[in-house]
Amino acid sequence: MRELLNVIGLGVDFSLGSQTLFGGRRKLVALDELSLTVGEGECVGVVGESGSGKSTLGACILGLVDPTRGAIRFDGRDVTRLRRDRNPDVAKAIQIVFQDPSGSLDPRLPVWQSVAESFEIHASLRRSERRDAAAALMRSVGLGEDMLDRFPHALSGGQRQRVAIARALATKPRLIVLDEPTSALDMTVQAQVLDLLLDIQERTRVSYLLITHDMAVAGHLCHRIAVMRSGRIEESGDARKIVTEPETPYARALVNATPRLGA
Amino acid sequence: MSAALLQIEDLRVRVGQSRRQFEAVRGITLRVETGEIAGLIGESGSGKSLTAAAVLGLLPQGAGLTGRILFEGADLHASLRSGTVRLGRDIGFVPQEPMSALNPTLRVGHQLTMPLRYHERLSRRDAMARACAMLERMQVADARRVLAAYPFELSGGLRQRALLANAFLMKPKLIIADEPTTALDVTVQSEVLTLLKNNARELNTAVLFITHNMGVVWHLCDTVNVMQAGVIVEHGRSRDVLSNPQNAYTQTLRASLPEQAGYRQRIGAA
Repeated sequence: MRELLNVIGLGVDFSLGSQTLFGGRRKLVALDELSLTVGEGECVGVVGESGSGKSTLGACILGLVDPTRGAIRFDGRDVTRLRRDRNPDVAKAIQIVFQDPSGSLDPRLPVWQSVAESFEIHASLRRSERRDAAAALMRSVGLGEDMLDRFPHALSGGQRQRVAIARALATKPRLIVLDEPTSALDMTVQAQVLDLLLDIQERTRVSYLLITHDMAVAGHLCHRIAVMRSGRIEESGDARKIVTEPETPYARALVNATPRLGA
Repeated sequence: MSAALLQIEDLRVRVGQSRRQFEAVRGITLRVETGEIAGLIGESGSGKSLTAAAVLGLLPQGAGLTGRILFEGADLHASLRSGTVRLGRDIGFVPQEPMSALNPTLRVGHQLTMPLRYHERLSRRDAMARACAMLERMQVADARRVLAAYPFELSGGLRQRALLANAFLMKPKLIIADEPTTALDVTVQSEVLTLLKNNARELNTAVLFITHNMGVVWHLCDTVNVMQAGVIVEHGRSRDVLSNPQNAYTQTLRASLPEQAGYRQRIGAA
């Protein structure tokens, strides 16, 4: 399998300011010597609890946070501190789906415009062409014509997350960072959205980096899982192996704390 | 059949303005026996939280309620009005969001001792000692510090332990818990649930536990009621219902669990 994303020894420090007037500035090490690869068409899960640094990792890959140390290579190219607004090809190739679709969609835009927004920046299409392209994208995530002109508030949580996925797909990305994509959804809706994500990956061979706290979701969607704690990878490997026979005490504690039937 | 601790009979709750009223709870019947941990499971909009609010007498204004809610065989809302049953003393409550349930401007100790001073007329010192002992029961290592702290100074897990202590403080016969661990990390969730279960058993407290999480019901609850669109579609011993659901909706819920869907194979063997 070809490597698409390569994170090498990544470190991020956040400055916290000083505790006293004359004290030195304290720093928080959010990521520490973190290395990880994602292959083409692969889904890699980053599982950790709040504060483990998993979302900071996603932000670095998207270029939203500049790492203090280390490097990020994407498709053989160094993108570590690359400004995405000046490198639209990289910005197009790496997209994100956020946890809360009601917070990530513009409430004042009909959803087709949110889906088509990137066409205005990345392609020169007429309005009717943009609308047709948005309709095709929305069809591909299971949303019909009648949804195009709706506003986000008039959609259910699952429909909103489908819109967010269609929006991410608009630039034909090669990697999508999924930051807790189903944790705000009901159980049955979560199952449908996970099925959709699997289906999209089979169709397009897009790669996923799944950020989640839910071991069961990661076990279902991912080929490989990395367990994060305090900015470091505690354990990584084949998803089935991590979920069924984790080796490190922390990974075992995480797996055992996940409430499951019959376990 | 003898009277249950909590008995709900044909409960209906209508919400919304008079023109556009909507029956969100459509005739449910359920029992919680003394010392029993009963689960009420359902997805958003199923009416499970409204059911809890109806029992506690905390329905939003304008909501209409019919049916009967009996606590130890007597009409609960009449008993609440006459003061023979009091919230906090006889029925405890553990809310979903520990941050918004605690008053941000009062120290935790003040909030935990208020009901003791009101209901049992304890002195400040005695109430503090009781609150401290109950926090220690919830395995709070540094109970004095927690009592002196404001809610924002505590982690989510500590806040939820403080609210558990608050619910158990007067040793009520029944605790209603509305998704008390959804905002917590999984390791903290499992600690809080273990505390809830062990204390309920030791103090013989019944719990009506509202959740959307089947795994939690499996580990915590003796019985379960599955709610869909305002109706209870299946109920029974929790492990019987969850391991072998009879109702189509319960089967769908169970099949939705990611761990029921199996694992993916490593692609393109590298």
